[in-house]
Amino acid sequence: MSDYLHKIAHCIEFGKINRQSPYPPNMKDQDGADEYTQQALQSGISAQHVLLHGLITGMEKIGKKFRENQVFVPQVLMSAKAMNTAMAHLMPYFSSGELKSKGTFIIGTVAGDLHDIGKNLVSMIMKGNGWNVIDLGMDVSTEKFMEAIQQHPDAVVGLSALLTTTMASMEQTVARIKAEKPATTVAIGGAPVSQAFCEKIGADVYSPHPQGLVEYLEKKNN
Amino acid sequence: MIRTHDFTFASLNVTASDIEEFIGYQPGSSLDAFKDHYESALAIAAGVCRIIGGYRLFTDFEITKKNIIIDGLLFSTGGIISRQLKGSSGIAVFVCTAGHGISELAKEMTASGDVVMAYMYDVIGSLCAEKAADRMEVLLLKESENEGFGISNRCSPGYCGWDVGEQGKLFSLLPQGFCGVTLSASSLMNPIKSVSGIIGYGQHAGKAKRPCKQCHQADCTYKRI
Repeated sequence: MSDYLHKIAHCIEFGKINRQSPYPPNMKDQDGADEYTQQALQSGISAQHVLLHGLITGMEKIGKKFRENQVFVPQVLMSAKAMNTAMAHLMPYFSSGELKSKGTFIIGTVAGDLHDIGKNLVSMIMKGNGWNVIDLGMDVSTEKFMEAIQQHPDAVVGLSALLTTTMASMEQTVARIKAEKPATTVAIGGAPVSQAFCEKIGADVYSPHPQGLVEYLEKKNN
Repeated sequence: MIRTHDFTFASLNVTASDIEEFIGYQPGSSLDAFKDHYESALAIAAGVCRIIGGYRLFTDFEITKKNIIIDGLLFSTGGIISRQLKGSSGIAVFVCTAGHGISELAKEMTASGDVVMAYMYDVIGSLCAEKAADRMEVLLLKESENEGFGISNRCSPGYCGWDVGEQGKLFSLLPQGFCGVTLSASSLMNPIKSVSGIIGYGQHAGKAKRPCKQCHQADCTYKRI
């Protein structure tokens, strides 16, 4: 694999955005994901390779570390910022059709719930893993989820809840999706949610960590 | 009897160490990497937090094995909380909030793409609400000590088996918009960085050691009271 791709993956794993970014301290005054992505593309490496072996590899590494409690939320967010910076250079390739996303992922915090840190984290990790993410925000009604599914019939849907009281909203949304669009894959997450609850409400997948969802969808698509 | 207290941000002494501990880091282990973030977030948060705490005291109450009845309202608190409040001669129903400003700031940061600072503000908001509740406990204890009383741990809906859905009933014991906090239909407090609950006080009231150890609630967000 090209040295550039290793460097991009490394910068994303450790949250090095660009040369100006002082984070992480041990990479100060070095190029970051921003510069290496531009250099990789200029050197003729395909956008597909940059995405697969740079961005996705870096995000996979940080996702695994997060799952294993080796890093905490701020480090994942720094990685996501680095990934977003690199991704900006790949956007023209998505627009031209040269790059294809792994699919569309619709995400939102369910009705009645206004917590968004977990939802944002999943959103960014999915984006970094090559998914086209449609973030519906917080306090999202079942109707709004249904409209988004109508517009993106092949999308995977992710529902987030932090309150035990809003798990009822989650149940209602899952029931409606499964009744009207049974082929839609529905993922659920959030502190009070469990595998037992996932099975009870008929969702397809629950993972306590974003990486679990990434790996589930990877397996499902292959 | 109703009491409210305003707390300044400085008086709560929220530190970088508090933030890193809340996030999950070992003390001092993240300071090299995130010191600037912590310091900048603390400086800005100081100007936007509007921290208020208050409580209402009730002497019309009954504690059974798994329930607590306050002013005629039955709360299914579960055995752990009932045991902690046993021996109380009164119950304080409390609310503390960090105010709207800190959550608004977090929202603005998220919208601008600065998700790291958004997270820092979110954590500081949570810490302020919790620390205000700690301070309010001290004030309640001072008030109680004058009468030779002690206080129990504070117990909140959503913890130790007490259904968060009972939050509405709890708020009905307080004046409308007490401390500026209101409830949504899903029992979500607004401002979002707020805590509520009950504390027992009395001659035989006291703090239980390590109450989380007694609780087997698998879906607890923080695994703490």
